[in-house]
Amino acid sequence: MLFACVYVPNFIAQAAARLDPVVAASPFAVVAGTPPQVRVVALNAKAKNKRLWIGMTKTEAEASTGTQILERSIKLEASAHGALLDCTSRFSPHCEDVADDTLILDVSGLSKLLGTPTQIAKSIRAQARNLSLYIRVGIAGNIDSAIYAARTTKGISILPFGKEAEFLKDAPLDILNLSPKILETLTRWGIRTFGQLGTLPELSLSERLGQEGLRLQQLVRGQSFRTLSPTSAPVSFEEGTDFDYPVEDPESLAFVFHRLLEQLTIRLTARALAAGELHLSLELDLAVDDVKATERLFTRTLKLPVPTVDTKLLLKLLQLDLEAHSPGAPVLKVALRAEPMRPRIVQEGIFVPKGPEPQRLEVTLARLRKLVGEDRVGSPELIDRHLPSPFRMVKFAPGAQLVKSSVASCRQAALRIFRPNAPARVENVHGAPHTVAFDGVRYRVTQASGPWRRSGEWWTQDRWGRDEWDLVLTAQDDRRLLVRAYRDLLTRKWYIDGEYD
Amino acid sequence: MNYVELHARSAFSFLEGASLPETLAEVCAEQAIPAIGLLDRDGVYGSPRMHMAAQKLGLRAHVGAEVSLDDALFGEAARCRYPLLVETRTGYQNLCRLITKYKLREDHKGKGSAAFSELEEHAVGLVCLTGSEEGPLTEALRRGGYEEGRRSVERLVQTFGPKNVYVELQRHRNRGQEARNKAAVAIARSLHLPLLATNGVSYATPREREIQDVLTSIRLHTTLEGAGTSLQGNAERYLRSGKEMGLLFSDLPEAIHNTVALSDRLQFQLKDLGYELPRYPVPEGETMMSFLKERTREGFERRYGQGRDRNLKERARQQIERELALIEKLELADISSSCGISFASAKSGRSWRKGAVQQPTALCAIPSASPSLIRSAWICCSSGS
Amino acid sequence: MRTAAALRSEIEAKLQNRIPAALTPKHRELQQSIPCGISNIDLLQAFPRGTLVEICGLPSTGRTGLLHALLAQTTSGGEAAAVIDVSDSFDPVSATQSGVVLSELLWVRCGLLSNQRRSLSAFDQALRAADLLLQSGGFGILTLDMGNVLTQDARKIPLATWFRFRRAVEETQTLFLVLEQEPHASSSAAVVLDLSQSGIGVQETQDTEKPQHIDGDRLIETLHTRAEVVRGQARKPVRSDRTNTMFSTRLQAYR
Repeated sequence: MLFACVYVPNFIAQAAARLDPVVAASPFAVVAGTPPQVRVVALNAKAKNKRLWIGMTKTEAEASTGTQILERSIKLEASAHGALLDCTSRFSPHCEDVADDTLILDVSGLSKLLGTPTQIAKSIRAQARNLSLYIRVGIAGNIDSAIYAARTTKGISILPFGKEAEFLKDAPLDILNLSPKILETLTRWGIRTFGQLGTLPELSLSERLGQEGLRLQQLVRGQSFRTLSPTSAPVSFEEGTDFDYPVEDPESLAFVFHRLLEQLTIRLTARALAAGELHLSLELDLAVDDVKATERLFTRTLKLPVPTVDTKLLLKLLQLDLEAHSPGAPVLKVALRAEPMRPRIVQEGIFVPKGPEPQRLEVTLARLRKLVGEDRVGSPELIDRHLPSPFRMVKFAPGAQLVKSSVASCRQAALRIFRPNAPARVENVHGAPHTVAFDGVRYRVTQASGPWRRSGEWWTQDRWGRDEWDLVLTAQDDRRLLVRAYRDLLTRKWYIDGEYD
Repeated sequence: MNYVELHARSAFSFLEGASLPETLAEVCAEQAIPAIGLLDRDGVYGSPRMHMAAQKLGLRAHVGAEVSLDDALFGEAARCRYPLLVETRTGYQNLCRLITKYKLREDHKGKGSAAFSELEEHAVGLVCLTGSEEGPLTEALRRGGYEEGRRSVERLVQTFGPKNVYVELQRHRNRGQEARNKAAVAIARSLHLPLLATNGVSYATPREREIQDVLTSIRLHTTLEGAGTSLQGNAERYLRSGKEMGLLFSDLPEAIHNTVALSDRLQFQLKDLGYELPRYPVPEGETMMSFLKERTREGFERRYGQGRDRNLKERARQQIERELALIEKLELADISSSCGISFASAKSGRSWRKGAVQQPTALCAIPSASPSLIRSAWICCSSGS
Repeated sequence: MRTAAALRSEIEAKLQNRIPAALTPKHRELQQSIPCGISNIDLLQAFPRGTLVEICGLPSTGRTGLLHALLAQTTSGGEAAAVIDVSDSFDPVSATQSGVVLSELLWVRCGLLSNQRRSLSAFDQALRAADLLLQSGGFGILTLDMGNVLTQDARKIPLATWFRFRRAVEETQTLFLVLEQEPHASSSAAVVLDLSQSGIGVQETQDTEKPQHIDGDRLIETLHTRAEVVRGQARKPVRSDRTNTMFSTRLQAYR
């Protein structure tokens, strides 16, 4: 059995600054607590150099120039933990979530796939670095030793079988999570390291500290029989960030989106998944003047035709969508969530006509929507109801349904509809239209066919009824036009519906 | 202009017609239409009431039905409704036998249909119309165009005879329908068949189109929105007056004249049923009525004799006397006895008395003047004879 | 005196290494023509893939009927098609009756946007949409429907734009179809089809001596069209060939 422990040192600080490289490069402190008891709970190395310490009050920390103060965010920690889980899932499906900052992987038998333990550890570290996490990896034959190895090393620590006690002998006892009483007792005895505890006589130890003492001694000697209880994979892939001051301009937002999307796609790829939908939620700052938005939370959902991990494509679609639907106020917080889906494998046939490429089509459709309007691009779909124009617009999805190739043998005349319908002045003679004037031109009616009566929706406010006529109109220059006109039975007004062409 | 509506349906075409036969008769009288042909779906359920209502108003009620038929058109199964009008008593018998035949074998209520061969067997005494939207001509035109339409009418002529097929024309101000009408006129001319104008009445007045739509939604187990294009496209299928029909068909006046001519031909009326109820064999020295009275008295004693409620007993006795008087007056002693005995047999597990009822559908046609007829029969049967 | 042909072969020989066959026009193989289901028109082979084709005619001359027939053949074969509708006049109901599979059709409805202060005219929207869709590619037919646009407005499209459209569909499987009242694309169009109305068929019962209109008696049944191939590189490579043919579309059906 071989176990790898992945440990994130200074987890709170790493999580807070993970997505902000600028902050990560400068000294910062993370504060938490209810006011006025707000205290520093984590620092990065640079802040430590400036003589700040954990436990100092926020005001004291603020007094130090050049130090950024960050609020502790549970969300950021959750997403960091999620990122960690995703990164390690690449290496082994058997993973136990020990703590926010510690994971155990079962890497037994992976030597053929991933190489020697050292190689494995290096790969894990590299992968975590992609996700802006600096981790320590400890590999050992049992779980607890692997944890201690990870805790005590600066980078990677591999414990050879049987030699755990030897390698860990200098490890301090406080990584054991001892109860204060036992720790006090041991300190009084002068026992500070693993090695020292390991060499104590068992009998005397058990007399003084009981079973617990024996158990601890076994742990430090590398004799642990703990088994892995794997944690199931998370369902949510979410990344977010807060801004220090409200951001309005689209370019800055695009920059942030790009970073978040990169993280999401790396995490999805690690689990061999792809994004099927993207949910964006923006928290807006309504306290500014000249703001068009009325709600604090602005959300958009992007449905992707084919699940993808193409960051560029996702960014482009997000940008186009926001150009068409502007939030209307400066943004304080951004959260992006991806719905995971299995990536679709499309088998292209040789004889199947190639349709528009889905990814490119999606961007094109978004651009078209921006050009002519949201509901003016798509496929028409007939509605089975008695309506004047029984159709609605739906999303264009070619190739989604199996097309039965049968074409109507009789060639129907096509109609070109005037939208909106042209109002007309009609003179009736002997019960049929005789002259028609619309769009500034007067016509004689040479043939009139009708009236064809249609009505519907009588139980709603949209009740309608019309008498339609097919008319042959002759202009003064003897040009003939074949039109469909109707008289609205409710308003008694005439309109030209369209022309046959 | 004189006009007879020969293709109407009442609410007895369950969930496909919006008006009761009485309403249709009233509107006919208002519109000065002298006669009406009620063709309900797969049955003659509405005919008795139509007959009675028409009699009261001085109209004539022609009998007929729309018979569902499964046919194969272009290799695909098609179900059409063949409108059949009864000309003679033989025709009526044939119609009832035909309907009974396929109704007895249907596995879902209301889904039975005849085969064309059965139609051919029972064609004598009936006049066949080429139908409306659900009729054979429309279905043939839709699938195979003019040629197929002509063939289907030819087949009807072969089955019913050239004098007994009328090419039906309906004008509901619908484009597709008019195209079919033009084809129908051409077919009629080429086969030398008479044209017949009808309005395919589904509701008595234009307003009742809304009721028709609601009934359609109920039939399809959905809402008005959900029913979609199954609802009426306009409100033109009402009882039109002779004047309106005259104007509508002023290019084909013969179609209107033929309605009167055909109505004159259809001599059969429901009162001419001329059948006798089977006689119930009673013991020596008793008549049917005395037998019934005795059985009823026995049943009454058993049912009410022990009770302490004097009031109830008295009321029951009076009711029974009233009903027995009515039965005597209507001469229905034999049927009451038969019903009573068949209930008793059912109770004791014995089979139906053979020959008790020869024409099941006709039986239902007897005007149920009082539902308590059944009750008296029940009281009679509980005597356990 | 050297002939032009001799001169040409000399220049070509000199440039052979750098630009082979420099002065010989590249022989472009015309691709297969898309059928429209109307046999008379199919004989003309007027709709080769990878080219720009113009269908011209006044209103009520049968242009849209021809468009629907082409769309029907394409979409029922499983290929996607697009219509850029400058005047928002496409009718899905009559299209379906002609056999167009609506789920394979992309409809771009141009017109003024209500909620934006600055927006392009419908015409400009259409041209930009054409560029976008040509870049995206993958359509069997891409239609620019300018059937209701007046000639004076349609003339404003520069020839360079037409040339750009033509280049964009070359070497692809897409047919770029333009519906308009008069031809505008000049040499960029591989085929120009000119349609004119040759008759309207009416059916009514005899005996129409009466002046009073009889409801529903008269049916306007057919629209007869004369189609002329004005410019046709379709069959003969150089010489434009005028070919006339007729077809009809029905307004009524038994359904």
